[in-house]
Amino acid sequence: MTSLKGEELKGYLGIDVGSVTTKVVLIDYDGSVLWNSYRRTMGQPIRALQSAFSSLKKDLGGVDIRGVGATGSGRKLADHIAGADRVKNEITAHAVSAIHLLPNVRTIVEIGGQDSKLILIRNGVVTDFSMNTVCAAGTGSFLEHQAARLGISIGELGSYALRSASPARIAGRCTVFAESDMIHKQQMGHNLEDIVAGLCDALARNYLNNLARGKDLSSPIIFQGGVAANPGIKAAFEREINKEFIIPGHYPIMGAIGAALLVRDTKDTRFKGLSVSEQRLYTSSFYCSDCPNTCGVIEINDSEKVIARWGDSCGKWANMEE
Amino acid sequence: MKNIRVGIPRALLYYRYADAWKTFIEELGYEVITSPETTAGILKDGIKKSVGDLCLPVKTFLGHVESLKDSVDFLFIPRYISVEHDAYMCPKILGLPDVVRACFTNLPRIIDPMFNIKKDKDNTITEFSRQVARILSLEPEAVEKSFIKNSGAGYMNEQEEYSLTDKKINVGLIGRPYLLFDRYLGKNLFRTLSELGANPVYIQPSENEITEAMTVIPKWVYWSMGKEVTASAHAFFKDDKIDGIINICSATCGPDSFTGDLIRKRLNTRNKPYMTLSVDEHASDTGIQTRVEAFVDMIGKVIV
Repeated sequence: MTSLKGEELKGYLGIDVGSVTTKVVLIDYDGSVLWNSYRRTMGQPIRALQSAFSSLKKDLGGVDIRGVGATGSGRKLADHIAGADRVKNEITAHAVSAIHLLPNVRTIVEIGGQDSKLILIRNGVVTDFSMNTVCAAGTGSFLEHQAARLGISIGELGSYALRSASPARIAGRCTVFAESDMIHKQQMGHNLEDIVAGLCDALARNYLNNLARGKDLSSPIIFQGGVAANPGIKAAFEREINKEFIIPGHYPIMGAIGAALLVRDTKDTRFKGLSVSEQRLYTSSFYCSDCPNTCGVIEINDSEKVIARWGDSCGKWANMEE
Repeated sequence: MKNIRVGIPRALLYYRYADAWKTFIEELGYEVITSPETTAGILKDGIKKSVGDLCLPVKTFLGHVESLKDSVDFLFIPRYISVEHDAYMCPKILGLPDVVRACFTNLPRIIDPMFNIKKDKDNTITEFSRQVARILSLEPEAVEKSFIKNSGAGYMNEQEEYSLTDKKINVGLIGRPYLLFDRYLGKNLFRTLSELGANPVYIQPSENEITEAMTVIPKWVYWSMGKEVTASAHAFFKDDKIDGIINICSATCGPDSFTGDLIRKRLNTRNKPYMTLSVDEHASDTGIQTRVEAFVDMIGKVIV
């Protein structure tokens, strides 16, 4: 999208700092996506956010940002860096964008890098949700790890699965067991297509057993998050519960869109400006030794100055004035 | 007898009987030392001492024993088997003094009287007191008198009130007191909810409420604490002023896995927002925060 001559572009920014990828979107008041960026966090969320901001500036030139919403597991960090008007958990953010897109949606299946969520919607409001616990079995990171081990790119995984005539049976309860099961199948002589399809089945089964147990997955079902890129998973889900999974065009950035939708009525934004991308930001951390909790305290520094601190449970570092 | 120190680990049944135990032991003439509130360090020590597959609250208990054992003359770890007819504590609480002995060497002497209400027998307290008296070389009658006098004290006495207010969102909290009121294990749910503008509510169900709840489910729960959790859930589901219920449980707790299912399937007939938060030693605060935030949003019906 090129910048509009004469009139400055107006919009609302949504930031979703996830464990594996960082998403930034610019939407207009109606919720149409004007610009978006999807990049790997690579363990450096600040750098990822800064580089998203500089490409926004490069792509659009000047832009009048009226509100900023932050979500994702790094939402607090995003707030400290960019200045957000609302900081929302990713469950609400995903629900907001899906309902905006499809007002009669009843089920949202979201699978990201390390999280998976199930959100049930009735009459346009969230009525129930569940989220995977510490185990990352059945998330994007696991698929990626397996794709790398099999020597195929993550983008190709789905097409391999779709070519399978007889998916191999693979245990999906635990990534460690799934991996040893896959190795066993490969040594038995199953072909790659069947193993990959089996992996997709295992992931879908794992999700349904863990998150959807006892819950009513009724249609329309929206499937979003990075893993929706894999048609093998979509097919596995549809085979498993015999219902259609709708994948929205903006499936990987739905959380960021939700965050942006939530700030459309902001009066005076707290946004610090795109120039944040030029700041010399870095983080440091230490363990506070003032009590036996030994909280890990994170500091964000701009050049030599500490601009934010958090992580302490008592709040004495977070509230400290410099 | 002055300055003989008796240590009480601040974990498990401490969160039910702390006041009764403390005043009881002090009245016998001893100094009571309670371990500090659970911290990351205490839990780490407990995990290190733990054998096999113990649950999070028991691992925490071991951490508290570790923090006390070198500074006290006795450890007070009573064996609570049953505190009412036809209901029991869980097996790990039943065997707690044995678990502690198996996990440590060089322990101070453990005061481990058995509290076991049996049918047709009314000598539970006499028997309990006799065992305490034997270990401490005291007069059984004096011990019994002191125990009876103090047994009414509970733990909630030192807690703030967690009751209904006019706030928009009232969230009922259910779970074992040693998770809910241990600020470290329970992830400070009371504070988290207050910070989100919701009002946390906690009740200790009455006998009548327990009896009523037990008639709604197919079978009486025979774990004392599970029965209380179930009854609190039932009372909250019925109460129109309660907008949602959060059940906090330990990931590997056997009784909780049964009662959790009963609560979800049999008691939530009006489809109120209900969420289980399961904690273990890996549970991150971020994950809990995200779920609780989303839960409050769900009750508040956040829409664009």
